[in-house]
Amino acid sequence: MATLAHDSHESEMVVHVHHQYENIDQQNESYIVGMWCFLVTEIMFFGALFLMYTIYRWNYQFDFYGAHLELSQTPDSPIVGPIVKALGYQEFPLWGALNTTILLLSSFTMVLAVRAAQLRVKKDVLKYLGSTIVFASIFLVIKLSQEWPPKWTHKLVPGANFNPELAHLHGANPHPAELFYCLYFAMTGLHGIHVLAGIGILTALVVLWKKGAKSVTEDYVPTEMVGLYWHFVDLVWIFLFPLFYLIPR
Amino acid sequence: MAHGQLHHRSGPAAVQEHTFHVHPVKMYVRTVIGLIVLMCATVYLALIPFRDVSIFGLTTLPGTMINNVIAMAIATAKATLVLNFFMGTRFATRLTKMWAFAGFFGFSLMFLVYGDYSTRKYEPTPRWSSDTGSSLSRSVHESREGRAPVGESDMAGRF
Amino acid sequence: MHASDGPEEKNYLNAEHTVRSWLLTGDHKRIAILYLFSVSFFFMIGGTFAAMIRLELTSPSGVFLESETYNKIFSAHGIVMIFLFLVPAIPAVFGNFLMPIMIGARDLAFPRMNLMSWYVFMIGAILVMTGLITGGVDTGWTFYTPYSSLYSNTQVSVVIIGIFFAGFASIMTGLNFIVTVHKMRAPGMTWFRLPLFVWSMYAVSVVMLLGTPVIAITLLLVFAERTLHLGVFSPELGGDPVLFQHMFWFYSHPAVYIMILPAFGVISELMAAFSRKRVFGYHFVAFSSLAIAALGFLVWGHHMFVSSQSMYQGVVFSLVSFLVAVPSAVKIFNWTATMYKGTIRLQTPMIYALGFLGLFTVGGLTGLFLGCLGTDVHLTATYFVVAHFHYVMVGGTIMGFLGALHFWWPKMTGYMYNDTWGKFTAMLVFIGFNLTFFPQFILGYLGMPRRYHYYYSAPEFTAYHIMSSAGASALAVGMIAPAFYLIASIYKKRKAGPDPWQAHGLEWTIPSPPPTTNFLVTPIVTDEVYDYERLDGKPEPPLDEDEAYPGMPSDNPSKIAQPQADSIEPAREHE
Repeated sequence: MATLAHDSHESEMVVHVHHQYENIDQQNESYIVGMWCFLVTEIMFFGALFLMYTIYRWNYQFDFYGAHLELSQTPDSPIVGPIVKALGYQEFPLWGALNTTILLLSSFTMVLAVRAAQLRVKKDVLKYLGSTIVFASIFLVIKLSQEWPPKWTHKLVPGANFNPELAHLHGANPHPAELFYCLYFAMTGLHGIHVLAGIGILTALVVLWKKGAKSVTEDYVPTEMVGLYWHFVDLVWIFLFPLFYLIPR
Repeated sequence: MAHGQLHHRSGPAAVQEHTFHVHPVKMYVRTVIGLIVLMCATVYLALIPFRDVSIFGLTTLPGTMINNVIAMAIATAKATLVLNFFMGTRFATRLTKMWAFAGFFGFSLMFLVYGDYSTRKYEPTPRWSSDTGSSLSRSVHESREGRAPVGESDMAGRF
Repeated sequence: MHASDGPEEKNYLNAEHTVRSWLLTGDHKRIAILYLFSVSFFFMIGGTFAAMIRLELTSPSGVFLESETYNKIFSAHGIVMIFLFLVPAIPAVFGNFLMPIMIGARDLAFPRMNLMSWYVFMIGAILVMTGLITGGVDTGWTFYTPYSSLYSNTQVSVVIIGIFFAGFASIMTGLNFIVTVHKMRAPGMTWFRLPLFVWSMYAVSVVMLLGTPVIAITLLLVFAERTLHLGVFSPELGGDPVLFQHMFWFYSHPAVYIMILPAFGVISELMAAFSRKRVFGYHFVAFSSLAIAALGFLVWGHHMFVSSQSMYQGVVFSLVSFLVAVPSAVKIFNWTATMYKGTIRLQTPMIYALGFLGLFTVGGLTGLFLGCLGTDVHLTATYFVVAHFHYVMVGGTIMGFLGALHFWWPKMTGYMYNDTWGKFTAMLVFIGFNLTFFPQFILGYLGMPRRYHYYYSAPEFTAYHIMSSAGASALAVGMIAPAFYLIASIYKKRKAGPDPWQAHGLEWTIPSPPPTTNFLVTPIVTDEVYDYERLDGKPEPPLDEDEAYPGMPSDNPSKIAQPQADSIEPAREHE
C-alpha cells in the first residue's frame, strides 16, 4: 500500500510515502502543518500561565520587583560574583542571561542540524544534534544546580517551608513574594519539563540517525519537526527571561 | 543556494520533482548573532532606571513602563527572528503562516480577562473594610516603595 | 439489499479478525468503532449517576443519599458526561468514521496519532473512573478554587489528571481533523463542496485546539496547588480564586460549542437527506460554524456574572453572548427553510433531527435569559440553568448523536435496523426528555437551587421533581432501547447496501461496510454538494433564458441568426 519514491542520486534513497498520502509533498506539508498545530496548543498552554503572571505582576508590581531581585546575582555570589563585579553592577541576572544565551545557541545548532538533514550529511547531523543536547543539558544543569537549590536553602520554596529571611525578600511582602515564587517554579518548571522532554526526543533522534533508520534519514521532515519543537521551547524562554529576571525598579 | 531534491512517484503518474530550499549557513549565523545582540541589549536596558516621562503635561508615564515596553519589544523582536528564520515561517506556505498566527491570536484572546481586573475599581459597590486577616482588602494604596513590609502589600486593593 | 450468495466482500470489519488488529489498527473506521464502544459505556455510567440524582430528588428530604455523597454523585455525573461522553462523542465516533470518506481521502492525515488519541482517552477515562470509584470528588465538575485546591479531601488530584489526559486525546483528534481537511481533500472537492458535517468538524477542531490546552494548564495548576503547594489561586497569598474561574471557563465555554457544533453538522446532513433538498443557505451555515467557533471564545464571563467579576466586564460578556446566539439561530432558520417544499420522509433519523430543532431552540432561547445580566442574577445557580444546558446538550447534542447513529448505522455495519422501533424510541426520548427537563425551568424560576439534594423547606417543588424523575425514567428507557434493536440488527442481518437512504455524499457511493481503504480509486468530485435534484432525476434547471423559453427570440447577440454567408457565395464551391 505504501508508495515508494526514488531520488535521482546514484545512491538509491527511497522515500516512504504513507498510504493515505498521494505524494511526498502532501505528506511533508501535512507533517509540518500538523506540528505547527501542536505548537499552537503549546502556545495556549503556556499562554494561560503568562496571563496569570501578568495579572499578578500588575497587581503586585512592587513585591514582584523585590522578590525577583533574588534571581539576580551580586558581586558576592558564588562562582559568578567576580564577573558581576567586573561588569560593574550591584545586581545582574547573570545565570539567567547565560541560560538564555545557551538556549539561543542550542536553537542555532538545531537549525544547522536540520539543514544537514536536508543535505543528508549524517556526520553533521549527529554533530549538531549532539551540540544541541549538550547545550540543553547545560541549561538544565545550571537551573538545577545554581538557580533552584538556593531557593530551597533560603526557604523560598512555596508551601509549608516558605519562611525566608527579610534580606532575601528585598523589601517585598511575604505573601505576594510567595505568589511570585509559585509562578516562578510553575513556569520555569513547566519549561524545564519541556526542555527535558526535548532532550529525550533529541536523543531518540540521534539514535535513529546513528542507526541510519530510514524514517529519519531519507526525509528531512522528522528532523525539522523536532527542530520546530525545540525552537518553540527557546521561544518560551525568550519571553520568560525578561518577565522574571528583568523586572524594572 | 543549494537545492535538495526528492523525486517521487505518485500512483500511475510519471516521476515528479519536488525541490525545497536549503538555506545558507550565513543566514542562520546572522540570525543567532542578532539574537545574542538583542539579548545583551535587553539586559543592559533593563538595568537602566528610566525617569518618569510626562506627556504634554497631561499624564505621567512611569519610568518602569518604559522598561517594560522595551523589554517586551525586544522579546518580540527576538521571537520574530526565531519564528521567521529558525522555524522557517518566512519561507513557509500560507497554511503554515496562518496557523502560526492563529496560535498567537488565540493567546491574545485570553487577555480579555484584563477587562475584568482593570474595571473592578470603578464599580459603585461599597468597599470592604480593611481586614488584616485577608489580603483581598479593597482599599487602594499608593505605591509602598520604601515602607516596611507589613500585612497588606501595595495595591492589594486591586482585587 | 440483495443478499449475495458469494463470499463476503472484504470490508474494514472483516479485513482482519485478531484482537491485535483491532487494538493496533490505523484504520480510522476501526478507531471510530473503538470510540463508539468507549463513549457508549461512559454514557451508560453517566446515566446511572443521573438516575441516582433523579431518584434522590423525588422526596423533599432526600431518599437514600447523604449530602456529601450527593455532591460526589452530581460531580461524577457532570465529569463523566462532559469529558468522557459529550466532548468526544460525535467528533471521535462520526468525525473519525465519516470525515475522511466525505472528503474522498483514504484515511486521516495521522492514523497512528488517531490510535494514540484513543489510548490516551482510555487512560484518562480509567484514571477518572478510578478517582470516582475510590471516593469521588465533591467539587462539582467545575472544580472551583479554593475548595478544590485547598480544602476538598476527595480524589480531586486523580480525577484532574484523568481529565488532563482526556483533553489531550481531544487535542490529537482536533489536530488530525484540521490537517486532514486542509490537505487531503480529493480532486474537485473544493471548500464549498464539502458537506456541512465536515465544516462543523473543522470548526470543532479549531476550538479543541485553541481551548483545551487552557483547561489542561488550569487543572494542572489546581493539581500543583494540591500536591506541590504552588498556591496561585490561594486567597491567603493574595491570589484570586476568580482567576481560576476565568481560566476554567475560557475553555469550558468553547467546550460547550465543541459539544454542539458536531451535532449541528449532523443535523445539516439529516435535514438535507430527509427533505431531499440542498441545505438552504449553505454558505451561511458553513460560515456560521466558524463564527460560533470564533465568538465562542469571547463569552466565557457569562458563567461568572455573580462571581465578583467587574460588572462592566459583565456587560461586555452579556452583549457578546447575545451576538453568539445569532449564528446558531441562522442555522435553525436555514434548516427550517431546507424542509420547506422538500420531500420529507419521517424516518428515525429525521425524527431525531426534528426533535433537535425544537429542543435546541428552547435551549438556545433560555440561554438568552441567562445571558442577560439582570435576569441571570435571579436564575443563576438554580434549576433553570440545569434545564437550559440539558436542553442544549441532551436535546441538542444527544439527539444529534442518536440521529447520526441511526443515519450512519447501515453504513458502519452494513445492516439496517427496524425503523419502527427506531421511530418509537425517538418519540419516547423526545417525550421523556421534555417531561424530565421542562418542569426544571419552572423549578429554577421558582427558586430551587441546583446541586441541592433536599428541598424540605419548599415542599411545593415536590410535584415538579416527581414529574422530572418520571420523565427521566422514560428517557432512560429511550436511551437504552437503541442498544437492543441496533445490536439486534447485526444478528438479523438485513443487509443495507451502499445507499439505504438514497442520500447524496461520497460516503453513500462506497459499499456498506466500507473497505479498509475507503475508495478503490480516488474520486474526482464534480457534483455540487447536496445535489438532490440531480440525484432524484428532476429536470436540470434551465441554464439560461433561451432554454427556459425556447419559443421566444433570443436576446443573446451571439445567438441571433446571422444571414447565411454562403448564400451569397458563387456557385463555384460545388466543384
